[in-house]
Amino acid sequence: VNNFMDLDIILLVIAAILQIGAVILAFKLIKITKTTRGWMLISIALVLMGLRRFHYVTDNLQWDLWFFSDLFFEYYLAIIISVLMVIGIYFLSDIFREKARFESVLLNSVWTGIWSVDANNKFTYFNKAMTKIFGLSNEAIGINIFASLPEQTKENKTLIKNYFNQAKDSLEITHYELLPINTLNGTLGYFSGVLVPMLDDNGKYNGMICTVNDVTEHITDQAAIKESEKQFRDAFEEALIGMALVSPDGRYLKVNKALCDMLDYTESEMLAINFQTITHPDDLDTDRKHLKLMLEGTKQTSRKEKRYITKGGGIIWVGLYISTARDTDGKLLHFIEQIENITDSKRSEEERKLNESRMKTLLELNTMTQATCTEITRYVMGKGVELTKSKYGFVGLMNKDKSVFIIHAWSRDVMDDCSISDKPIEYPIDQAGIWAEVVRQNRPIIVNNYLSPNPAKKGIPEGHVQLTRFIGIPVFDNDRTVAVAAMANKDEDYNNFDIYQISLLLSGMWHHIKNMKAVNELNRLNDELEGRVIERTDMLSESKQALLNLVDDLNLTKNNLRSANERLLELDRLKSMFIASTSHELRTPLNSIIGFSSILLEEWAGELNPEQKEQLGLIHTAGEQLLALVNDIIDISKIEAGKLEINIREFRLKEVIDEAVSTVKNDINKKGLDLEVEVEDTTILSDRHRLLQCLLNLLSNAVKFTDKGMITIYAKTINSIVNISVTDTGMGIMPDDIPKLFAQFVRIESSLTAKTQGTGLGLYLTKKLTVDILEGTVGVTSEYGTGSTFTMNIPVKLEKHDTEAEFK
Amino acid sequence: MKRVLVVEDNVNNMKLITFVLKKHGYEPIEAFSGDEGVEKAIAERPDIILMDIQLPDISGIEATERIRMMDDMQDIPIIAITSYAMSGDREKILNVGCNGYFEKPIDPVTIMGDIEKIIHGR
Repeated sequence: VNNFMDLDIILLVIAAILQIGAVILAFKLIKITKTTRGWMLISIALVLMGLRRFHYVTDNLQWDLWFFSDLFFEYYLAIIISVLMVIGIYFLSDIFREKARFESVLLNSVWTGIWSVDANNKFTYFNKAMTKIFGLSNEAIGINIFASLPEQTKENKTLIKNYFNQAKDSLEITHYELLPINTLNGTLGYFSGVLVPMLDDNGKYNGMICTVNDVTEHITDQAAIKESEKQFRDAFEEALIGMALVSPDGRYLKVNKALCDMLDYTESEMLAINFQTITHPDDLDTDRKHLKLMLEGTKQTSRKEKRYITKGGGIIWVGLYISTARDTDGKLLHFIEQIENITDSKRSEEERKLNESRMKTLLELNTMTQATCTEITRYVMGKGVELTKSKYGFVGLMNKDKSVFIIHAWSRDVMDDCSISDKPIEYPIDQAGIWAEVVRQNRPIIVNNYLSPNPAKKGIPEGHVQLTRFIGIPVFDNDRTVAVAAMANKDEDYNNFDIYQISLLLSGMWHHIKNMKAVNELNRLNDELEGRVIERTDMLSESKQALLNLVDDLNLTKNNLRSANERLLELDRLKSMFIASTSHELRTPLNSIIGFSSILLEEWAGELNPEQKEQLGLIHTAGEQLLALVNDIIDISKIEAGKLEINIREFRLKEVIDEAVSTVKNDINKKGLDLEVEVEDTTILSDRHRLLQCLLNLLSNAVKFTDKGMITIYAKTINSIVNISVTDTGMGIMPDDIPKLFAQFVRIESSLTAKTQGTGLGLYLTKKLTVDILEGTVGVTSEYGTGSTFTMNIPVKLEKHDTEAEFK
Repeated sequence: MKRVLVVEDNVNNMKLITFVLKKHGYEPIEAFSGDEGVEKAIAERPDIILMDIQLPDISGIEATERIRMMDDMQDIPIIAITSYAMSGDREKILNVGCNGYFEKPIDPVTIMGDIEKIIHGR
């Protein structure tokens, strides 16, 4: 038994150790795989094993329990434990398989090449990536790596070997970067990776595990980035526009060449200053405000125009564009500034403004008509200082011989700052300082570095204002310098534009002064002229008055004449009235004379002896003559007084002519004359009585002055005019007498005059009646000694009208 | 014997006319004014009236008008004797009812023939 016991104990111990080893292994596996199923099963197995051991150790205990029976322990428990162990290990091995598969998939699915070699540099493992990159096949396992890799250049091989040996010799993990290796398809790739040497239990080198990352593309990317960075840098550096990165507190972090050139600083100088340093003091406040807004984030970008002061102290205008670069939290990293030099455009704008200002000044100058010479020069001087942005200025005029310069205007500052004891207003040119050079050289002079030596300077008297910059401009009139303006101490250099401005201003001033002189002269002449004009006007007024008096006289005379005329007309009318009425009174006694003489001649009152009869006949004839005369006078008077009534009616022309003919028929017969009547039988509208009267007159005249031959009466209507002519074969009328024929009381002297009777009013009355009453004409043609033709032309239709009106 | 009323203001003319009338066997009735002429015309009922137009009181025209206003005085021939200056009144003279007119101066030799011509010519 003892032997058995001994053996039994030994076996037990061995089993226990094995089982403890299995347990430890199980724990390890469980820990690695983190599986619970295997863990539970193994745990149960372990508890059972513990119980079994416990049983063995205490088998002398007699427990009345089936559970603790030997049988159970010996058989069933052992079986249970074995089943449990088998199942548990199954699970665990399953897990191992999965893990191996997972690792294989993992290793083969990455882009990184993974491989291992043994101590003899022969491949022991490589993943799929290696196959892809270097074309390794499964045959390569166990083959030297250099024999397996694609053909390498000598340099590459050396590089690879260097790294390899480094790791091998040092036995430390070795990183390699950008190792050039030829790949499967022969192209050069760049690779990075790690070489991990493996040691055996003795600490001796036992191969290594390595990784290979293809960084070819990465490198290309990097190159592209570098290129792009370079481009960006170039764009920044080479930009014609000034560019800068500025820190939130205003320091220049990065500046480009254009900006440096613009401001005349070097890059390093720029990086040492901040923007406040170079900003014009007048623009600082605005800048600070903008800065604040942008720092607060109220404004993201800013655009403005401002002034910088260059290293040399010059002022430049820039257009500034500011944007911000912020981190992801919105914190301001820096400003990005783009700066454009706009000094030129600014200057031209300013010049434009100055031009405008000058134009305005010149215009205003023209309105200063009442100003004195001094006031004008002072005004121009002030404007000149303003236009050139100078501090001091003066304007002076030359005297005629160009030897003395008379300062008419000077800026207050000059005299305030200038404490020269005696301040002469007249400067002899040959004693004057630099500004006199303007006169001496007859050209504008600019001195922008007054403080440095200048041959033209004559030396400034003690106490004179300190000059820094100076400009002097002459004004010419017919090539003679007539005035000089000088300005001084502008903040910037004087330039041609200043010359231009001042020259124009001055020439405007000079013209104005000249004009004023001319205007004064003109005014004087005007006054003189005005005096003369007044004098002449007075004279003219007198003449005019005289003329007016004359006109008054004339008017008076005219009025007198008019009233005289009216009186005359009235008298004439009265005369006609008088004649008419007295004629009537004359007729009444004539009626008795003619009437009673007729009766006596008829011997109704008794027989008369021949002598009585002849004498009574003479009375009767004289009475009839007197009556005819009175009748004619009455008619003429009535016509002249406008009292003759017109009696218009229709009648036959022939009838009137026959009546007239019948009246003179006896006389024609008595004289033995022939009579021819050729009359158109037409009806006319006229005054029958007056026509008859006219015809009787003409006919009786014809008979009266014709002793032999014939009398012809002819009447015809032509164009609404009745033409009646009476032709005789009488003595005729001398041409000289024809014009007198129709006048009053005219009797043509002839041999017949004595024999014939007549009032001398017959033709006058005929004409009056024909013209005034019948509205026609009467005329005569005659050949002395042969005969005469009297012709009447009267309208066929006489229009009725108020004849009285014509005579009133 | 026919009776003739002569209205005429002028004595000489009146004498001349009445002489001629008597010579030719008429009985003249004299009236020296218009009013008298009208009165005598009504009172005497002459066979003929010779009426001077220019009268001192009323004109011969008015006198004729008055005479003609009476119904039984319509048929008496009235012959006006006008002055030469009154020739414009002829129409008026005929319009108021005169049967004809003579212009002065009257011709004593032909007047009675002319009067008869007027009276019988109507």
